[in-house]
Amino acid sequence: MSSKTTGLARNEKVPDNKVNKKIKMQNSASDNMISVLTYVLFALFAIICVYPFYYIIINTISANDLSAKGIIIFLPQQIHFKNYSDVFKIPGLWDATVISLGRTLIGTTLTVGASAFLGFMFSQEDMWARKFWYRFTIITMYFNAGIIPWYLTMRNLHLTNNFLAYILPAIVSPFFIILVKTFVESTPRELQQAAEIDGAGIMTFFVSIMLPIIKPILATVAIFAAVGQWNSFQDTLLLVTDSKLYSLQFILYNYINQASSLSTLVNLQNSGNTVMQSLATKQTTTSVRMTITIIVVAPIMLVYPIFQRFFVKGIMIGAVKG
Amino acid sequence: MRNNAVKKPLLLLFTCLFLLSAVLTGCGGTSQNPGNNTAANNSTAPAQSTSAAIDHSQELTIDVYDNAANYQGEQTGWYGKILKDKFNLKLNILAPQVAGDTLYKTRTAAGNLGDLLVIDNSQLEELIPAGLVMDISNLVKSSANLSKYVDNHFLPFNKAFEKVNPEGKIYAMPTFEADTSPTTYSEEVPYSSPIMPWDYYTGVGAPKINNLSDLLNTLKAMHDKYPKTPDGKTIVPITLWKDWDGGSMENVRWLCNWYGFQQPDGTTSIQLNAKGDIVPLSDDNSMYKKILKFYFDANKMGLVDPDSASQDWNKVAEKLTNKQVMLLWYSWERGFYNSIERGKNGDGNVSVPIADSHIIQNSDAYFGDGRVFALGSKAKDPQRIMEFLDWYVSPEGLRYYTNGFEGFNYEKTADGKFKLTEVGQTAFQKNTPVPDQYGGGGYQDGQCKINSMIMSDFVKDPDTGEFYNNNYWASTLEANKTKLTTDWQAKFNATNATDYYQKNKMIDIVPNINTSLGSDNSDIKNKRSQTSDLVKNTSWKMIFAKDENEFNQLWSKMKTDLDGLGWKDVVAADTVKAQKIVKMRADATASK
Amino acid sequence: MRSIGNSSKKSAGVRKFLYILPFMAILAVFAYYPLYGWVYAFFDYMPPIPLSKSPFVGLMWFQQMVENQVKVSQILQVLKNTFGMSGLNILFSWLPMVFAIFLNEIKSMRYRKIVQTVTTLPNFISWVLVYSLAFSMFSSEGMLNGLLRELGLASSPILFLQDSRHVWITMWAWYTWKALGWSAIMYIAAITGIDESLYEAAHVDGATKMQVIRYVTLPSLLPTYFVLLMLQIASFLNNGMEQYFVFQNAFNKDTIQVLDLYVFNLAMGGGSYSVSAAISMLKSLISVVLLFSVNGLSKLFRGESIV
Repeated sequence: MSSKTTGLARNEKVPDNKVNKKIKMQNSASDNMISVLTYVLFALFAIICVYPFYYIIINTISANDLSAKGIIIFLPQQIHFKNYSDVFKIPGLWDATVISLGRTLIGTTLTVGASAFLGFMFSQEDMWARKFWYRFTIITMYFNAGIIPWYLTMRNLHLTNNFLAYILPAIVSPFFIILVKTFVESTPRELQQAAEIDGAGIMTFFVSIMLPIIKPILATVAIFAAVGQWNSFQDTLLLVTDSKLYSLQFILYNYINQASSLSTLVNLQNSGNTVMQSLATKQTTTSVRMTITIIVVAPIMLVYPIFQRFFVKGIMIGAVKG
Repeated sequence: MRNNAVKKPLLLLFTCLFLLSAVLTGCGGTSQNPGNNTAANNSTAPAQSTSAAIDHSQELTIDVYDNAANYQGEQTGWYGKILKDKFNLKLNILAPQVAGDTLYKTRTAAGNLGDLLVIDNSQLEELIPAGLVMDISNLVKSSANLSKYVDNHFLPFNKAFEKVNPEGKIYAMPTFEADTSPTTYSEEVPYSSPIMPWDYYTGVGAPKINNLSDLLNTLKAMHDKYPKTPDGKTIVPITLWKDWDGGSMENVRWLCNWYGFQQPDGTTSIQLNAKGDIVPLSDDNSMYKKILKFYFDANKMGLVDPDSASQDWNKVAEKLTNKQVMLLWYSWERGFYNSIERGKNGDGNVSVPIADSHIIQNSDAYFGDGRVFALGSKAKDPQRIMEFLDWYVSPEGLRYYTNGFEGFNYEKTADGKFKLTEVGQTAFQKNTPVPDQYGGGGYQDGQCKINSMIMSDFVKDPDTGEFYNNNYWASTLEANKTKLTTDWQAKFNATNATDYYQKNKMIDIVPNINTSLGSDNSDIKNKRSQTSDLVKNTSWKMIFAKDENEFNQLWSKMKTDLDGLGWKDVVAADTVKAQKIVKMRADATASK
Repeated sequence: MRSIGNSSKKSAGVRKFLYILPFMAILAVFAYYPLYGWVYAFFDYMPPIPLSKSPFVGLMWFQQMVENQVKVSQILQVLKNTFGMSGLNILFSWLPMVFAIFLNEIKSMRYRKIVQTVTTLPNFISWVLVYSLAFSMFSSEGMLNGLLRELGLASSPILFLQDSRHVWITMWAWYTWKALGWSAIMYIAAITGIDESLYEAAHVDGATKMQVIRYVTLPSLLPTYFVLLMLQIASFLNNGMEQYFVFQNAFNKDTIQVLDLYVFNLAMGGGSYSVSAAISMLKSLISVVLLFSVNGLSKLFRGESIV
């Protein structure tokens, strides 16, 4: 801990502020310049990030034919909410939302819990064959067995048409474990030694001391895992045929697909002519896509600030002292 | 203190999660029950079939594996209500268009595709020897309505699969079969033919178009006179898009039809004409190359949309809706802009024939159109599924499928024929709410999501003597007559485009062959995908080549590279397929 | 004494292992067991025909990838693109870290939170939609060409999306725009974990902002950075394909086609399942080998092994 600060002094990179006020003034001048630059750069980047989103929003609430012409650029015109009300009329939407909320809540909790525990355990140097098991875990990140064996495995485990199919495979996530382990290793070793001397078992130490310290990284893992669960529909596509278990993302994906399925019809020369004509005239896939993007992102953006409070500095000290 | 404050909410959270997960897994558990029940039914089913009556007291949910569907999930809405009321039946549709082709691979690898299958011919050919489809010969023959079509439609189709079906059993019923004849074409406009905005064309004096270079000059004149739409959008005379490209460049492929060459589905390397000549795309005299040259010339004249290579179909659809495009070819492309209102002002896209063209057109899908209805070998309660399918081809079933409800969508006229009601004319487009007595919901949302018929709407309704397809009802034709139609008819002296081409002997209507052309082995599959990738890529580059020199260089480079990728083998495989088509066409014409 | 200490230590170690055993079992089931599917790579497998009836082809699929000049030159071009794009991403992999560091320097909490939130937004826009936004800005009728025309800077429209030059750079820029704010979250969390007393000490010493960053923040983030860098290098063959798929056209295809897209484009034409099994097996093996090579290098140069 202190070695780094003494390191600073030894290298003499930090001028003594008592000796040279001029330098300090220069310092603060350059500090100010950096601050201003930082503010400006971040503002610019933020605008680049926000504008496309704003563009999407104004296009979903403007008349679709105007939007299709590409003239909605700064302000919405002929505001309407039909795109949204159409989406909310999709049958099964609310049941699917419950499923999605369920998998997000349960899945995230379990993933965060397991990642925290495993990340912590893998930092225990005295664990039997630690290195082997850590590598055993990490390399699965790069495994791709192919879709058929994966499906057959899930089927043999009775995880098709089963809510647990959303949860179980995601519990052990190597990437999150690495994140947590790296974070744990940056915390002072002495904490655990002190706790052990006090007679605390490893679980007690993990739950009452380590968990509060690693909250920031757990918040990160939680955000990543939750967004992953919330956005996931590939597993639904392959594993679920029971419409009661469809997730929200799947239903929305299904909806987009209906709007854009024309291309697959084109080769059926004669038969579909009338069907195709009516489909062709109806389709406005881009506006459907845009609407759905907003509907999917909105809840994430509402929840995100809750996680952000874990990113405020000073928690760790407070937690350790408390 | 602090710890407690954290722990209590945590405890609460965990309790909630536990409860939630209990509820959710409970869902999964109960949902499996219907399956179990019906499995139990299955064992008793054969006993019931001996007595004619079928027991409907148990609700039956059937999994429909459906290549044609673009919606996955339960059939809801008014069509769902009909099935529920009539048959106590629920359809759970599995759509590879939504879930991806891997759905086919994983489910067949696991040995059960579904109860009712709507699959491609080539898949049927794989599934029969794998034992995944059911022999339905007896079920079909003993049914009331389906049995009518056995001799002319189902048996010839099934017998053509001689390799996997030597005994000539009925495994499947083709989709969208028209009950006209193998050499009739019933639609007003050929599937691909030159189409232009009538007002622009007449605006430059409606010049006679003798050949493709006349066409370019006419387009040039139109573009010079009308560079922008009335609301200021740039007009792009020819616009192309990349995302539909399959074996070759799709926008080139369909223009070849104007001059008598078509690329059969399932092939990527050859073209075929009505006489039975088979020409590889890479032939220096191929129609494919001529059309590439046509686009190249058009681009040199500034007639091709510069965004062609980077845009997708959605963008093109917008341009069609805004009337920014001057040359269209798919018959249904007219619908983006045309409407009866505009037609009254003589405004809309119409056929403009090229004098030296000779269109090749597949006939009505008398033998079906590439897919089949079949039953999975593990289907629960096949009797009840067949009962539903039999109703599906009955007059009642066909009317519901194509036209909705009498009294709501259509009504009887004084002469006993049908006429669309005001609601019926737009019920699909507007997704009009359906009255609660019929099941509620939007009309389009509630339509049959199987998205496929066994017999198509080109079958005559015994009550009216007209097609089920309401576009061809006398009442509809009368209502759709506008200034646009009459002006066109006056100029070309024909009732519609198909009529014009037939009168002037500018069209070959070839029997629409429907069979499996055999599936590729892995070697050909891989070679096919690599070669078609190269063909597509080079085609685009050739159209936008700087000069004729580059155009030719790209072509000869493509030919050399194709050889390295095994092009000859692909051509050989496709030639075999094409020869089968040629032979079957000859048979169909002879048998007529 | 000593031996008792050792054995109790050992039993503690084993007990710790027993804690993680259930999780290792989950991994064994969901990650290791399905690997039996790699055998499909050595067969000509076409469902619904079961594996037992499929012909054994040995290494045919691997040999076919390089069987003649045209294919070799195709594969080389694809690998070049893969190296190029992954290389650029690896070269700039420090960006999220720097982003987090400077974000942390912003005093106004509200400003910081707003920036942090909005910069994650692009992450949620699907590539398909990104492309349609890109099209409306950069097509011949798009905003940018409209602007250039108004200003008299261009007589004929510039076709940005069909440009075959700078493809790697533009792809990198799109990717960075989409992922930067999102990846920075990991570093923001790591900064939160830095011991406050280090900063206090630096302040007492009168360090400038840059000095604090250089001697306190940066060193504390490096472990995270190196771990992530290593993972990224190990997965350099896995660019994903969605981004490149939506941006590809006939004119930039030669420079945009990365391995994943190449495989996808082939599969679109109906490539066989066994080929894709062969390729995913090859990719998995290469990644694992790379992971341990990089780890070895890290041990050699930083004296620290990462996995």
